[in-house]
Amino acid sequence: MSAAAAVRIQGHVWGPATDNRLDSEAQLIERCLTGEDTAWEDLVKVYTRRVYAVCYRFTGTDGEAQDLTQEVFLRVFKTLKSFRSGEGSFSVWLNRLTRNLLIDNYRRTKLERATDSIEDQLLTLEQTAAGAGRTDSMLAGREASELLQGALQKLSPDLRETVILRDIEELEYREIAEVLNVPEGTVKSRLNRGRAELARILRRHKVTV
Amino acid sequence: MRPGENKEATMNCSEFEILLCDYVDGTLDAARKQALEAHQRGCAACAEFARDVMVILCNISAFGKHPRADADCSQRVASSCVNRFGGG
Repeated sequence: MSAAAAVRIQGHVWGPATDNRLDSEAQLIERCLTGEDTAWEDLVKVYTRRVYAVCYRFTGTDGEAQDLTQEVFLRVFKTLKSFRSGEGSFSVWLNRLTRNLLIDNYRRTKLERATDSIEDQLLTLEQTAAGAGRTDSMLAGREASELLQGALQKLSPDLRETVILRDIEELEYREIAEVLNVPEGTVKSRLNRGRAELARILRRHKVTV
Repeated sequence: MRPGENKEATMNCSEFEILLCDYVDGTLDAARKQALEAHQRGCAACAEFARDVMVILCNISAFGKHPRADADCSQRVASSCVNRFGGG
């Protein structure tokens, strides 16, 4: 590495907690809890895209991501009263809830996945790479997204969720530590191991990155 | 401990693995930055590890913020959630 270039990902999704964001979050939650007619709809509109994105990145399938997103909101509606604004932001609470549901789902479906042929999974990634015609060049565009998504699915859940929360959802290390209930050092270690493993997976499949 | 770890460096491989986050974020203080770079020069395994991390960081923006089908699908999910649970 030649320089300590600050490599950060473009844009923000859940981003660092700002005072304004926390204020608007708190107001929205308060409206939900007081039973205001349009509040739940507003809550869903604000957070669905983000929850869906995490579910999709974690599962890799649209249908499963949609189902899980609905489950997340069902849990939100059932348990919002247990959210305490003094104990952290709603975004972190929602992330934790989403993460717990994804892990539950992962465990529940582990047996089904174990019956999938590893060779089939690897073949799919190779075919994607070959079809993209990108075995000897930089990742780019939609094919890059698909290749990275395929590689992400091959990470262990611990590494995958950490990479998703940091590099895609752009949470702060502190927030990820809260969501995963592990020390920040563990977050950073998992994050880098996840990134390095992604690079190795892509390299194994002859994708030059 | 990784194979090839430089035992003389002041930073070990586990610390390197953690502090690499702050390094790529540009938030590492000068002393630890120097220690990290010294370790990297003396440890082939960590040098390769860092290269792999950087490769992914340089490419991950191509991942896009949201899945490509997301715009339509999330709208459907939102509508479905509102219909099913909306109105408190």
